[in-house]
Amino acid sequence: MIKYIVKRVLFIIPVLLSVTLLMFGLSSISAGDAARVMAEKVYNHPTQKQIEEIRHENGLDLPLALQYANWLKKAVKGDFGKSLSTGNPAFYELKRHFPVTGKLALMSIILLLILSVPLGILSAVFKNSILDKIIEVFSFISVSMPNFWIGLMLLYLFGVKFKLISVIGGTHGDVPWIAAFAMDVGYFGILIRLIRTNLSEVLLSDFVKALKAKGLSSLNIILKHGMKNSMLPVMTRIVSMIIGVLCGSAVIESIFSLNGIGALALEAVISKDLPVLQCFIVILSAFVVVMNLLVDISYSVIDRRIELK
Amino acid sequence: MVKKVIDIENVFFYNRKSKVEKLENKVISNFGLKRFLEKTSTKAGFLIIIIFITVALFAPVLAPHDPLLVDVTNKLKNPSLSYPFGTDQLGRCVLSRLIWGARNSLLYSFTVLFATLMIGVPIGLVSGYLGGKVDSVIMRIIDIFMAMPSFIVALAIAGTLGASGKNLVFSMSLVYWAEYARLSRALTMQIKEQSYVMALKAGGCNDFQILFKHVLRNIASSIIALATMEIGSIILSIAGFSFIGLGVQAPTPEWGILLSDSKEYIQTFPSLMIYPGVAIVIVVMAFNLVGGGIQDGLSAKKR
Repeated sequence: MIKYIVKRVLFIIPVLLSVTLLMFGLSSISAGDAARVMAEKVYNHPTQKQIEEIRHENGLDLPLALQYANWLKKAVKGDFGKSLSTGNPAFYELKRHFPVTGKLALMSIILLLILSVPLGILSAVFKNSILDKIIEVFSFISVSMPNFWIGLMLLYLFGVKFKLISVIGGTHGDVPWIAAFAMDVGYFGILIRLIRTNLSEVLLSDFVKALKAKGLSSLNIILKHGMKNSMLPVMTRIVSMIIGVLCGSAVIESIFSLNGIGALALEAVISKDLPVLQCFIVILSAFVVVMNLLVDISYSVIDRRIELK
Repeated sequence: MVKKVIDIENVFFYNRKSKVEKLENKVISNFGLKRFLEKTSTKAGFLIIIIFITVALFAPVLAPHDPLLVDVTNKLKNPSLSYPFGTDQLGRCVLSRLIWGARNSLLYSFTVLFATLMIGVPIGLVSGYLGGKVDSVIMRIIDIFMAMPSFIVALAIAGTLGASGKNLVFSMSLVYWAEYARLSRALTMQIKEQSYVMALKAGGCNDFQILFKHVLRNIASSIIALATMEIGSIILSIAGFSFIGLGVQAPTPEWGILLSDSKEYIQTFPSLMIYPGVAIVIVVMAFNLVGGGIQDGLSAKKR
């Protein structure tokens, strides 16, 4: 057990190293000259000498492997350099934009649970009924829908037709529920089907028959015993949805003009703001890998039947 | 690893890893693959796909206008006889852009699929066949790539190499090859133990012939099954990345680009955003219907 956990924790290191190596290698072979960009921030029209000075100051004339090592040393401490467009530390920029995305993610997870848990339970309890078929069609449509299109349609409906939300975007920190809903499209179907599969399996098991024989009400059985025993896969799937929501928030943020970390990353791509981009990539991949690790570990802790490789 | 708890009923609704795990367990025969296509909904999906592919192939003939021809005097027009879906903000024919969009969207998606197959399958075949040290090193690398989030990789590549359709194909292939490598490795390991492989060896076939002629032929159905289930999400990803500016760039007619162009006219000319969205939904649904048919076949076979 402990050996398994240690092995999994150690696996984080190669994944993060390869992501950063990939990013670092690519930025060095790409056409832009980082020293020139920095020099242009300081001087209006930098001479070759000034560019070289800046290059030397920032260690950009060192061999690539050494540059990577230096960068890595700083990055471990949370120092990703300064944003090229605002001059603030990159990590500070990320922190400043996080509340909007965090709020969006939280709201969409809440909506996701409110809408899909009851539907999942209904389709498991009334399996193969007309209701189940309707919910199945809904799930199928949900996974085939692009969330950016639904986002646009909802923006049109609620922003232009009903004038309930601003088309230009909320003020800082103001996230509309519509955006959170658009974010969930695609996840509804997945979660509903997952609950249906797991719950209907539990409801067929022997201990549920025993509870029925004991005279417990069906509602009690379904909500208390059934859900408890089918929640584990659902919980872990929700964790991976949180990851998806945080990573993929750029799409919804760009539609609803929200100023979160996704929008920050897109802006960094357009303005070639490498420090901010690198910070985003490293922090987000670390988050993803750690969350996945926690899911796997919690699985093996809660359910000991799982064979440990 | 989580086989016991999640008894997968419908792979389509699960993530990358569990799709692969589901297919890894058993080699599908070519006959089995054909049987999956007997359902009506699968056939309907197939029909739609064939229609869209035909449209994509004959785009130059079918499109009534040049999709890039700008005519500002004729902008944002409602549907008429010569412009059946109207014109966009630059006076370009929306129908022609949709038709060429089908060509570009499908072309990019199939390119990603082709590239992932070309990288993943040979690596998986060799790794599974050789076994030992080589295999364990390759398996580690596969694990690393399966753990990489595709959005982050696409962002890293667009940010450093620049955003373009070519770089998007590169970044998506970089992430997705690992699934096919893992699947073909697992299946090759099962097949290489079978007696006919021994017979081939005794008959004087070299390793290369055995792998790329005989083993490949036997794992082809499983790989096609995985690819069919994935193509829908590849199409969605390509359109999504292009929509936020990380993929194909304007003015190339591509469905994601068409949608992102329409965003600015949401208040004045909302009909622009309807058509590309409907096109994406229909194609993805069609591919998902076929993917669903394959899964039904898989789970029926298990019994």
